[in-house]
Amino acid sequence: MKLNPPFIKSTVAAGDPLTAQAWNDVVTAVATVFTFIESSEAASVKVQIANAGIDLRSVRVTATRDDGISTEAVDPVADATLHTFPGLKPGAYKLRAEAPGYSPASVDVVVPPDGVLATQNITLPALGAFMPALFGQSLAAALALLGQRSIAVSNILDVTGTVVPVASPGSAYNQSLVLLQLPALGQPVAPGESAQLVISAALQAEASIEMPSLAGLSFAEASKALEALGLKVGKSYTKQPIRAL
Amino acid sequence: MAINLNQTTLLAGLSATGLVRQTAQVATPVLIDLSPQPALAKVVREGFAVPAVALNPAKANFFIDNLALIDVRQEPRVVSQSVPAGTKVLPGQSVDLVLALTRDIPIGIFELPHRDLRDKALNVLTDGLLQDTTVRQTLLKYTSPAEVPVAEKTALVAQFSQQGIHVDEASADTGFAAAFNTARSALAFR
Repeated sequence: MKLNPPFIKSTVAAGDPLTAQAWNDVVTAVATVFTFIESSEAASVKVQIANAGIDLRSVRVTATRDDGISTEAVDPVADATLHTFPGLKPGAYKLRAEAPGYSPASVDVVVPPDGVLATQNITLPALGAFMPALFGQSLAAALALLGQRSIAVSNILDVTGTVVPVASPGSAYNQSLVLLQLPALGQPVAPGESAQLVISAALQAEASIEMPSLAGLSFAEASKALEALGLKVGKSYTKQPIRAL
Repeated sequence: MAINLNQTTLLAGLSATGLVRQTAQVATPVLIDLSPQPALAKVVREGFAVPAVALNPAKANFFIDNLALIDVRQEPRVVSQSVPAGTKVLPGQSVDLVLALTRDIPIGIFELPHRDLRDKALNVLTDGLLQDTTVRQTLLKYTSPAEVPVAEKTALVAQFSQQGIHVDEASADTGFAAAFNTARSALAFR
């Protein structure tokens, strides 16, 4: 469409009569603009990232025309899953998608003069594994999950800062819970990289004893009662009232 | 009566019964003390080693043989402990104790004692009322005065009365519950 403003040849003053020709010019111009907008939208190019489970907002899709001019697609909004270029001029383009944890992938397309182009599917090759949700899981379960995904663990600390041996955490730590994971949930772990965990401290159960009442017992009885419970007699004093001389 | 055993005869007899042979078959470790000097106890009091006492064995034994055992009821009793009852502690915890003779312990230290007893010493009960077996059994059988059946309560009240403990339900500190609880607590010191 080619607009050639001003298409209304003259302005009118208040109270001047408006001719039929002038009105028709206005109507025709509005219709032309509407047609242009419709045809421009139809020329949009849509890209579907085909990887299952990928965070589409982390994917960057660009289109580079053969003359070197690049533009970036609009991320999917709401429930949509397509990246959209809202109006590419006809021509040859290289569509390129890239996301953390994946190798970039590209596809060559040609936008025809009528702008109609089928949705382009791009699958990104994964570089490695992605961190599963480990928060709150026992260390044993977390290590098993990471093992299934071939994610190596380089460091484990408990909340007291004690280094927990990765290869053999020991039974004391098996039920400790994961409090922090690095990288975070869903983040890629490329080959050669590793995960780190912070877990709760191992609980050491110690039998506690409820102190009995010893009132009324003789020293021998009290000693025997304490000894039977694994307790000890400390200092003992026998007292008497202070009597006047 | 003194029994003199001839060791040779005894061993021969045991050997015949197999007892000696059995004992000899048990492997017992042979312990050899390799420490340069034997361990010596060093008791220090007020910063100085306590002097060793040289006792005359004959006189000491004579003295000991003529001593009478102190009745356990006259031994000092625990009245205070450094770790209160009910506190959770770990094994190995040490507990300091304060003891006193029952004649020096006022019944008034009990919670809500009977009015007729609160100014008296514990031995009044331990050497008096609590000498009666039936009274003791009744006090031990029931943990609360409300559990005591009427017949036993009547008998108990009569015993209290004989000891000068007057039960009068007009006041909480003269009622049966106060007398029962006071006597029951005193049982721990008997």
